[in-house]
Amino acid sequence: MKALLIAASLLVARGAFAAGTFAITGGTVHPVSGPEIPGGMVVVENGKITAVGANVTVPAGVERVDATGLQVYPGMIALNTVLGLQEIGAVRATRDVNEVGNINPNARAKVALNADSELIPVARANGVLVAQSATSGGVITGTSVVWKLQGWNWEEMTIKEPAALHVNWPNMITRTHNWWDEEPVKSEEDQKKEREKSLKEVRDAFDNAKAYMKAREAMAAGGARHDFDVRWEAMIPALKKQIPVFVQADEYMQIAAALDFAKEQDVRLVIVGGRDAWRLADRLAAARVPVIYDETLSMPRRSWEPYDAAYTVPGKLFAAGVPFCISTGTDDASNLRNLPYEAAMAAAFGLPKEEALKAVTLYPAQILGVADRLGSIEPGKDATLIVTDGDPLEIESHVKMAWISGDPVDLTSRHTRLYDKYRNRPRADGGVSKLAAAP
Amino acid sequence: MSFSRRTLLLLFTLSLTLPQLARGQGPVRTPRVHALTGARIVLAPGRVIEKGTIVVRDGIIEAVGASVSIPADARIWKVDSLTIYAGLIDLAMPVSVTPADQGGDQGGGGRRQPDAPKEKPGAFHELDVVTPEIVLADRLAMKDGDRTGRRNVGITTVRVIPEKGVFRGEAAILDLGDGPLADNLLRREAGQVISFATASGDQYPASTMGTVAVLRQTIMDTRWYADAHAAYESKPVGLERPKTNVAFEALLPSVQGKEPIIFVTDDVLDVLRAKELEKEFGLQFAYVGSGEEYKRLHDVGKLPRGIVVPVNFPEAPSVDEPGQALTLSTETLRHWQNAPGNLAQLNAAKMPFAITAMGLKDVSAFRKNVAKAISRGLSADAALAATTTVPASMVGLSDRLGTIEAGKIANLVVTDGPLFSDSTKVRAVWVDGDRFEVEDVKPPQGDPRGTWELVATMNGTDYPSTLILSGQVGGLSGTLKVAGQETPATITQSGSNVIVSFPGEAIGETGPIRFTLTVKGDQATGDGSTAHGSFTLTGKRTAKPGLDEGGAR
Amino acid sequence: MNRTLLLLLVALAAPVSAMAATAAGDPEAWHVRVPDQPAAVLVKNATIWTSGPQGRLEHADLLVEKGKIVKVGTGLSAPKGAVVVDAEGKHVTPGIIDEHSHSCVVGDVNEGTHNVSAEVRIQDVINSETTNIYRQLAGGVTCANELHGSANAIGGQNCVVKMRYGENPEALKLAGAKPGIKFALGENPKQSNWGDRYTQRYPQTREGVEQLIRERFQAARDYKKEREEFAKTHKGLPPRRDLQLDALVEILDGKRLVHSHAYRADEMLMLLSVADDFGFRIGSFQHVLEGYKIADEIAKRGTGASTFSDWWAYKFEVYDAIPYNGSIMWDRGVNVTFNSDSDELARRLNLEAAKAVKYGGVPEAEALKFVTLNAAKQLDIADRVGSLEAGKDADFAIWSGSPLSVYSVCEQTWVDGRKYFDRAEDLAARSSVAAERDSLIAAVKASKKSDKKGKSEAAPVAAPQGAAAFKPPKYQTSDGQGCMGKGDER
Repeated sequence: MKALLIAASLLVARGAFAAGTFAITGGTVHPVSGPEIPGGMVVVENGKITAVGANVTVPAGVERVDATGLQVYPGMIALNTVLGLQEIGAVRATRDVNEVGNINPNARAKVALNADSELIPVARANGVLVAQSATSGGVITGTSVVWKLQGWNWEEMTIKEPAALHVNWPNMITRTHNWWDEEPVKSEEDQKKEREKSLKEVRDAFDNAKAYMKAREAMAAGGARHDFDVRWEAMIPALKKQIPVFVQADEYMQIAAALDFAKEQDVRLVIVGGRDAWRLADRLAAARVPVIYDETLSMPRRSWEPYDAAYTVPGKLFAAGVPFCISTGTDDASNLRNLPYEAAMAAAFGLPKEEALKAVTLYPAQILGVADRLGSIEPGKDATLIVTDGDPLEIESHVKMAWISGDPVDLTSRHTRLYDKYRNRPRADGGVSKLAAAP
Repeated sequence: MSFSRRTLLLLFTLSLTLPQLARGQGPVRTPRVHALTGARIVLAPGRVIEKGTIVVRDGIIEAVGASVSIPADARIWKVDSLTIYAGLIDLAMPVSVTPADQGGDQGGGGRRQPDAPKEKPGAFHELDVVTPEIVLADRLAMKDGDRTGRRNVGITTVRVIPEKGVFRGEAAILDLGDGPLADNLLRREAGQVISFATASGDQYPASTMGTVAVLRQTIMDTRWYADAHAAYESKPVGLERPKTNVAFEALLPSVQGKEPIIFVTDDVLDVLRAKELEKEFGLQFAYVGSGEEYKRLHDVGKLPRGIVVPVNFPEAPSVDEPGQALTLSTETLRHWQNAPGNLAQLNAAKMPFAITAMGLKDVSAFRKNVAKAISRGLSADAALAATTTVPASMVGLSDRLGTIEAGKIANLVVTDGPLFSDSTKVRAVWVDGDRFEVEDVKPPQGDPRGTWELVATMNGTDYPSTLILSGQVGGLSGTLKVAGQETPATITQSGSNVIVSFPGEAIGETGPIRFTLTVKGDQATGDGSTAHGSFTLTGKRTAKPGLDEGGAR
Repeated sequence: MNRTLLLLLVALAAPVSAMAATAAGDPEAWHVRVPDQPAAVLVKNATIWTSGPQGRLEHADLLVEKGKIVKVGTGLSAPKGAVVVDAEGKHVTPGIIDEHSHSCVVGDVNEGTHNVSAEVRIQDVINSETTNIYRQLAGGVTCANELHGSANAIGGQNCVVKMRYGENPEALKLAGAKPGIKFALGENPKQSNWGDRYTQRYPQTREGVEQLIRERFQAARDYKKEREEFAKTHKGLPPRRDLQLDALVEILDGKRLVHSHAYRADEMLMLLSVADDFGFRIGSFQHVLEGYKIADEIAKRGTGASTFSDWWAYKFEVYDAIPYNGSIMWDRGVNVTFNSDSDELARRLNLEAAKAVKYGGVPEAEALKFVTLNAAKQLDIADRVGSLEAGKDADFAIWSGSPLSVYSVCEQTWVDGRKYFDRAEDLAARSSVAAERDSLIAAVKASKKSDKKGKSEAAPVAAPQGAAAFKPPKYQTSDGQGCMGKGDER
């Protein structure tokens, strides 16, 4: 029996298991939206979860997947990434993240997603099954897409698009001279002027887009002709509050300014970055503005801040009732697999453990408006799940099995292939490996 | 508009100090015997004569005391209710070196090939930062504004140091009189100046550790050079001759401990690092400090040749908006608070120190800042010593400078109160027995630098000219383009007034011509006068200055 | 006494404690008093990961005397007056050693204007004032290898420091550590990613990198011969001492270890063969992300491997990097460490070690060695640090749980038997840290108001806290007035 299990788990690791309709049995189920269910079951039919519980009737003929001794979790969701848009940071040709010019609301991340990026299998092998990808150059940077991390092409992998309109809030603080810098920093006045200019750019873009929207609606109702504008057109969903505006703002004055701006423009705001968000927690909580915090594993922003300043932010946001989730940041997407460890660090420094798990599953889904389909194990949602041999927020755990919308996920990657090749290279010392079989 | 009596006096005084005209009437032969009577005289820190007289003859103090007989040929200056101090000595005045016609920097990016010697005429060191052979006194580019700026706060003697490089060249000591350098120079070679400055552009060394390597290698090379050449000279036959290198030759006396080395530091870690070099090479440096010594005073320990310390305390940072306070580091706030106390700590630690005006954005704040240091625990006597007797002693000129004593150079500061007090004004400064009136100068307000198009209207006719103001606020320099000629101008800034004085010869007049501009934003109005009458002025600023060159490093 | 002054004095009142307090988050090292070294310390009843032959002990004690480890075992008794730390439920590990750090360097970490800079030394530019030291203590780090950057094929000399926050630069250095030097291979020294302006400096290819290195070692050999000849014969002019070649000769003589930044298998084989030809052992490869492909070749020479746990795909030469790298090399007998090369990651090296367990199944105690003993071996300081064994320095960290668990927090960090970090003290100090800032900002505002009114400076303020800690030595000036020694008058 043990051999069979081992064989099964080996098969499982190579992705040759149940598709579409199956039942996971014997493991501890963590719905995230409710308490954990030891020895629970999850029934999946045609890619959707139909039943979750301790004693659930499994329909006849449905294949069972034995998860005894293992844990069942929702797949993790990474927000505001560049996955699929960038392969190797140093190689310019592989980057589709920064378009030229400051106003590019119509840069649609969706159409540039490389479905076969080597980075995708690496991310999903550790349980990140869904991502949101966005461009990030300029001031109004583009329109993002939410997509599942397995499929044939972006058309087929898209879950929601447009997902959000993205804005980089201009820097709001005057930098003084760094004495070790050879380049003198621009004068306070010049910096102020640059800042005014950038802020005006943002404001004008929204005002112009509003005017455009109004004029086009009037035209549709029989009024005068107005030409199509690719940029303002792309802003309409955000103006209509159908999608949120994700504003990259870390520093106190940036966040405050973004809050004022969103109120004035009457758009749905989400703060991305949010380093100082806890300092404005009351305002954020009162306005129900979510924060996508992607700075957990960072240095404190200021030399005089406590050493754990970045680690403690999610805990503070939670305590203040600010809606939030945790992400990894936009520098590159090569290590989205470490998303759970960002949440884990927040848990070590004040965020309750269950909240840390929600911060990478249910809360991202809610912020993106896809919580009807993703983020927890509940009937009616997609069977986008992982089975692990331990707490996924602990580093030593492994993902043993995974499904996206009921399709089994291939957990191999460029890394596992190279691993297999070189661990099997004949040893020069003729000895035997000390390592166990591949996890 | 009539001349004020004061202006008359000023013009008269100025005329005494004008450079002798080569083709004019012949040298001015005004007697240089003066008696300053009725003043409170501070002979030296802690030695005061409540009411006395100083007699000055031909630039030297002839006599000083409570009851001194006044020579019959003396011109009398009644300075009752005023105080006289010995002229102050500033041992760290950075100045730029006028460029020689050496092949300049390799512009246009691209890093050097390693081991490819630089194409410079002459047998110099290949690195731009190693120029110990420069004698600053021979290439001094000191602007008028720098000289008067310091003089107006009572500094009468300075040691000028080159601004840039690792091995920068020889410092010089001079008095701050007007006139050619030949008249003012006290010491043409006053010590080799070195520092941890990195090279500019993409030149080696770009890192601080690179400059340390340059320092060590160059000192070793200098010693080796001496040995190699000695070996060669003693027996040249049969030996390939060693290369010639002017830099090593210039550096040898310092490296052998025969000549002082002045080490310029930017922070306290620089001092600790320099001390390691002292240990390694058996040298002793005279330091120029940063004001941060208090941070690791205990580690700095003993500095036998002392340290010259600036008083450029940081301004209070702006904290008005709520988000702004967050941007202020605790380090910045603490240093703002602690910096003025630095000198008191050095004094308490019995560290030999002198005070310099180096690094002040506005030189006229010098006395006020020393006053601040006094309010933080530095005794007034120690402050005075640090600006007179201690620097004199550091450069071996105690016999000639630092106190008011018969036989010493007549460098004096006349004030209407205690020297280091914000409410005291400096009334006059004597350099080598020549008197310089100090304007009732208010602290400068605003930044009038740039290019001004002026129109002077006299008797209904307009005379255009261009005035270029450069340098630093509080120590401005100027050039006036008028009647097809370019002529340097002396600039004084008082409040938002700019007082310009230039030689009238430029427009066919004799003697200096003065005018005052009141600056408001980019507009100015003013007036002035010549022998032929007075004129009004309007001006418009047409260009703002570029960024400053930056500090000593 | 005005109110501002009062506030300031209150804020600056030094906290009193039986043993000199830790830095407690002070961002300025100079402002901090170095903690005392108690005569004896006994840490009781913890799970102790020795990284040594004793392995991992449960309910064990660690006895320290005068900064050295005396014993690790169960049921140890405390000498009289010892500081006793009740560590029940906690885990104790050796202090973490970061084998690749640039956190404590003044100025540019590269001398990138030349392609060879063996004459520059990190030891000349150790930055004692950086908060990085404190923040890494807060992550259990006690020792770091400060390296030159990777801009040059042959870079500068390294310096091993201990995280003695508050000490001056000289006192940070670990005396007696074997000298090392940084080399770099691949894209960085050949300026692949420096932009269009940087395409002229030789070498611009991997082939050129090899030739540059070989040429320099040949030059070093010739230089050595020339000096030896002159020492014997004294014929001709004395040869000039060249600091760059001196360092290279030390490598050839086995007195200075090469730590080479490298990624690709081919370039590492190249350097191994250069070292074979010139008769020395490469101390370690740094990053070594394709080390798993040539693990046997690396193991054969006894060269160490200091790698990242899971970084990849940021440059083309790291496209084949896999997180199993550490485990494969370890399995094949290479001495493997995980390093940070990052101020931020340096604080979490204990969790990086956990990745060796995740990717490849390295046993936990062995994985911890990736950031303790193995690093000490690579730096040739294993006689002093790296494990909790009698006779070694008392460098250790106390954790709230397993050091390999994400939920654990570092609670205390000791170096040389002095407690440099204590989380409880750090937390307790936060309100006074904030109060100091508030009073300083209030003082700034008050001074601006009085400036506006034209009044002179506020009343003198008390000396800063740090000053109280200094005991200024008594200096005598030679002539009571100046400072020139006898015979120095000009």
